[in-house]
Amino acid sequence: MKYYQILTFFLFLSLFDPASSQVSISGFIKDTLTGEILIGAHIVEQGTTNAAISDTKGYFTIKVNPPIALEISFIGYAGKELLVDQNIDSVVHISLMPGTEMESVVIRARNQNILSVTTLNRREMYLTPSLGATPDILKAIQIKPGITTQNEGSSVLLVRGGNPGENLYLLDGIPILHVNHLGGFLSVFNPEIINSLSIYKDGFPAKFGGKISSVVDITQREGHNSEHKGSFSIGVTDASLCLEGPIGSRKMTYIITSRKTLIEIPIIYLTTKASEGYYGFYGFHDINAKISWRPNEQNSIHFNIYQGDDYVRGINIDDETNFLSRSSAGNTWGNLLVSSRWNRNISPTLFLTNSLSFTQYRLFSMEKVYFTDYNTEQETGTKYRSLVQDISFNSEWKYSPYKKLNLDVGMIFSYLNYKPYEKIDMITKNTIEEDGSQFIESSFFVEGNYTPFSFLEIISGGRLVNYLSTNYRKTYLEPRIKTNLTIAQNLKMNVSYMKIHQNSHLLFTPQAFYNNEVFVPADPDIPPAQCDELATGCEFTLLEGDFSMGIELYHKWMTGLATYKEGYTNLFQNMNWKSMIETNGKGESYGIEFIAQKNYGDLTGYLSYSLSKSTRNYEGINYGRTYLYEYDRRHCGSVSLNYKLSNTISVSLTWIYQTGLPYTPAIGRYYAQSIYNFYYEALVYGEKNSDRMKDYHRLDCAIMWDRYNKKSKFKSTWTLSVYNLYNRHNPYFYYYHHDLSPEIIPDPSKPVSLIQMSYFPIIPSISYKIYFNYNRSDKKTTFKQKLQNWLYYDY
Amino acid sequence: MKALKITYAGIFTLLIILSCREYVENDFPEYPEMLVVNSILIADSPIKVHVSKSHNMDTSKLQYIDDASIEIFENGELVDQLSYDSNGVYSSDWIVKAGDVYKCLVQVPGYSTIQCIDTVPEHSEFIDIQHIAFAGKSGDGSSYSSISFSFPVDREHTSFYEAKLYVQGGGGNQLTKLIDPLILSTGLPKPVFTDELVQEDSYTMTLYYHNSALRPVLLELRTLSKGYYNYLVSTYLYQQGRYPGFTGGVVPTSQLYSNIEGGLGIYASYSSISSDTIIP
Repeated sequence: MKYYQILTFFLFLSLFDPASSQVSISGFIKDTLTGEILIGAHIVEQGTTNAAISDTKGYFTIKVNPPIALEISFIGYAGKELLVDQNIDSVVHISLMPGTEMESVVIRARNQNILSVTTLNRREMYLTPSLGATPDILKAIQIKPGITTQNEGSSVLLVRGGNPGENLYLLDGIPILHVNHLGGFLSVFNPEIINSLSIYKDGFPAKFGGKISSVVDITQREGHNSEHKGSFSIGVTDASLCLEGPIGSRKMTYIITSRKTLIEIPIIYLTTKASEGYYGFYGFHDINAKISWRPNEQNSIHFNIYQGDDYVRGINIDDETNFLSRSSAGNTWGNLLVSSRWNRNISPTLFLTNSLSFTQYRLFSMEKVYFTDYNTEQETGTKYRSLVQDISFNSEWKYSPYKKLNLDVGMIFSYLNYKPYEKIDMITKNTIEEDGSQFIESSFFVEGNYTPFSFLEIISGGRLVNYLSTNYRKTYLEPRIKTNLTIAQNLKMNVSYMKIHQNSHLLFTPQAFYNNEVFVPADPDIPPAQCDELATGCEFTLLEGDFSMGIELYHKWMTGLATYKEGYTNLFQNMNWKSMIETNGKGESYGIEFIAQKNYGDLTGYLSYSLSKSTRNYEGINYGRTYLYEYDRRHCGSVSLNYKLSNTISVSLTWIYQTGLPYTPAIGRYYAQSIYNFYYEALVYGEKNSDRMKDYHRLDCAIMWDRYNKKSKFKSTWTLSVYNLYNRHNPYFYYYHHDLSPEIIPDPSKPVSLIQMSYFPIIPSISYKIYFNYNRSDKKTTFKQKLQNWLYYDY
Repeated sequence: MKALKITYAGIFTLLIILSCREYVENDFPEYPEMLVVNSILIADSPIKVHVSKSHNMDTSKLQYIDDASIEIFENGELVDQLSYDSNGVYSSDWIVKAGDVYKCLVQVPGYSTIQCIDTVPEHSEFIDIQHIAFAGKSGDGSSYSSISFSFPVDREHTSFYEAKLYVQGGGGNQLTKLIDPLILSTGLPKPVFTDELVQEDSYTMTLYYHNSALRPVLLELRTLSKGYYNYLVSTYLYQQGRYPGFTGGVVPTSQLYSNIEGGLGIYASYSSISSDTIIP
C-alpha cells in the first residue's frame, strides 16, 4: 500500500514539473501545393523523444522548453525545421512540400503505432492491387493483420473476430452506417476524396464508442485552395468524376466526387434475353461533396454531404392492342449523410471541435403496377422499408494545461430512430403498418494523456453512456486505459484495456450478394452487446525508421450478441421480427499479430501474419454448445510489395494467405418423410462450423503508368491489374450434392459429394484516369511547380 | 415480382459465367448405421410406416429395410402387425383414431428395437367461417381474397395447428399477407402455429390468398401432435439451409427434427377438419 502511495505522490509531483518553463506550440500541418491537411505528420523536439502527431484535422500540440528546434516530417514530403526561441505559447501553420525522399530530417523516436492503430494513406491505397483496377480503401486495409473480410472480393471488414456491423465507420468524424456497394464488392468511399484511413483495433480513445470491434476513421480531402482541378476515371465496374478548387478567395474550397456503375447495360441485355418483355438491372451511385472555409487562422468550418444508393430493379412491360401493363419491383439500400463541423483553435492550449450531423441508412423493397385498358387507369404499389436515422451533436475540447498532460473532453448527443419494419402505400404515400422505436444516446468522455516520465505515457479515461427510450434505459461506464512504455529510443511497448457497448445489432446472412442487412436496436428483449478487450504489444524501428516491426497480443470477451435464428435470413414482412432473432450470445476472440514493414525508398511494403481464434455461443444454436465463429480464420498472412520502377511507373504485388472458413459438415444421410408424403434424402449435420474449407490464397499485381500530355497539359494514369494471378479456385462456399450439375433435385441412388463453389478466377482489368485543370491557371506557374503538380497531384 | 426474379437471374448468370464448381476431396467420417423410422399417423386413415437405415455420406445408395417386424399398439394393446409393401413401406388396414395413444415397435435383425409413441390429437372445430372474395390488392395490383375462421381454444393446454387452403386448380402456395400474430410468433412464412398466446376461449384467424379467378376453395385445419409441429418447423428451416441460395447467401444449416430414440426419423400425428367447399 505504501508503495502505491509513494508512486502516486511522485506522479502527482511530476504533473506540475515546476522547474520547467515550457511553452505550448500548436497548429496545423498542410500540403504546400494543395492546402490539404496532413494527418499523421510527426513533430519531434530535436534531440529528445518529446513528440506529437497531427490528428485527423491536421492539428497537433506539443510542449517544449525554448530554445529548441522542432523537426516536422511526413512520409512522401520534405521535412522542415522550426526554431522555437521565445517563451510564448504559439499557434503555427506549417506547410510541407511534397518530396520523394526525406533527406533533411532523421526520424527519431518515431511514434508510429503500427498494430493497435492501422493507418493507410492515399498513396498506399492507390498502390494496392484491386479487383477491377479501381482503388478501394477498405480492400486495401484488409491485408493488414487482424483485419479480414466476409468473403472473396468483398470490401466488408471483420476486425479481430467481430462482425461487419461492429465497426464504427466515421467519415470526417461522422458515423456512416452502411459502407458497401455491389453486394460488398466495393466500398461506398470514393477513393478520389479519401485522404487517409485509420483503424483502431484496441485501446479506443474515449471519444469513440458505440461499436465493439473497431473504429474506422476515414478523413476526406479538402479541395485545392488555389486552382480548379478535376479528374475522371473509368474502370470495369464504374466511372468516377472529381472536381475541386477554391471558392472566391483561397479561404474557401470545394470538392465534389461522384460515381456511377457501368454494369447496368450488360445486365439489362442478359435479363431481356432470359425473358421477353422483362428486363432488370443492378446499379449504384454515390455523390460526395465537401466545402471547407477557413475565415482566419483560428477557425475552420466544413460542410459535408454524402448520398449513395444501390438498387436492383425488375421491370415488365406488356403493351398489347387493348391494354398496357407496366410493373416493377426492386430493392434499394443506401446512406444519406449531411454534416457540418466547426474547428476553433481558441488558444495554443485549447482546441475545440463541434459537429452536427444527420445520417440515415435505409433499405426497402417495392412492387408497383400500372395498368390501363385505355378506358380506365389503375396504379398500385407497396413499399417495405427498414431504416435507421441518427441525428448527432458532438463537442470535443482538447486542452493542454501542463507539459505532461493533455486532456480530451467532450460529449455526444444522438437521437436515433429505428424502424426495422414499415409498410407504405406508394400511391398515397401513407404508412399502412410500422414498427419502430426512438432512442436518445448521450455520451460524455474524458481522457487524459499523461507523460510523467519521458519513457512512460499513460492515456486513461472513460466514457459515460446513457441509452434511453420509452421502455428501456441503460447507463454504463466504459473505462479505457493505455500505457506506452519507451524501453529504448526505437523500442516501445504498450498495454491497453477497454470496455465498450453497442446498442444496435446488425443481422446479416453470410456470403449474401444482395443486401438483407438490418440493424435492430437494443431493448428489454434484445440487450446491448458488450466487449472487454485487453491488448499488449511492442514495436521497434530499425535503420532510423526505414524498417518497423510490431507484435501484439489481444483477448476479447463479448456478451449480449445477437444473430438470426438458424434458418432465417431476413425480417421483412414480419411484424413479429423478434421471434427470428437469437439474443444474449457470447463470444470470445484472441490472437497474436505480427507485422514487419519497409517504409521508405523505391521498394516499400510489408509482411504480416496473425494467429487467432474466435468463438460464439448462443443458447438456441448448436444445442447451446460453443462453436467457431463463421469467419474464424486461424492463420492469416500477407506480403505486399510496391516498387517504383521510374517516376512514372510503379509495380505492386500482394499475396494473401488465409486458413479456410469454417463450415458445418454433413456426417450422414437417411430417408426423411416429406410433408407431402414421400421420402427424400436428408442429411445429418455434425457440430456447427466444425470443419474448414480449403485454405484461401491468391496473388494480385498491378502496374500503374502515369503519362503527361504536353499539349493538353493533362496528366493521365493507366492501371492494369490482375486479380488472382495464378487462377487459384478459392472456395466461396461448400454444399453437398450428387454431381456438379446446378440442378438441386436430390437423387438418393447416388452417393453425395462435397462441392466447392468458386467465383473469382484470374481477372485482368484496366482502368484509366485523367486529371484536368479547368481554369488553366497553370499557364503562369513555373516549370518546377508544374512538375510538382504533375508528380504529386494525386498522392 | 417476376421481373425482380429475372433480374436476380441475370446477376446470377453473370456470376455463373465467372464461377466454377468442383469436387472437394473429403474423407467423410464413418456414420453409424441406425434404423430410420418415419410415420405420420393421420386420424381416420390407415397406418403406414417407412423403415430404412442411415448411411455414410459416400455410400452408393440409400437402402430400405424389407425384413422389419412392426407391431402397432393402440392404448397399450397390440392391434396389428404391419405387412411389407415395397420401397421400405409397411402398412396396415388399422384406422387411426383421434385421442388414442399409438405405440410402434420396430424390430430388425442386427439392430436394437425401436419404440415410438404418440398421441393422436383430437381435431378442432370451426365455430365460424367467413369468406371475402375481394379483401384487398397486393403490391403487384392483383386482388386477393380472405377467409376468416374461428376455432375453440383450451387454455389448459397448448395445441398445435396447421391451416391448409385448397384452391381448386390453384396449385402452389396461394397464401399472401401472413400477418396473423399466431403465425408470426412461429416465424415461418406458412400457417403453422400454436394457441399458446391466446387468452380467450376461441380464436379467429384470417388467411389471405390469391384467387383472382374466384375459384372454389376448401379450408382444412389440422391439429398436430407436438412432434409433428416441431417436424414441420424444422423441415422448413432445414430446406432453407440445404442448398445455398447463390445470390442470397449461405443460410446456416439446420438439423431436421427427429424423435426416434436410438435411431432417426419422425413418429408423429395429426387430425383434421375441413370446411365445406366455399364458392366465392
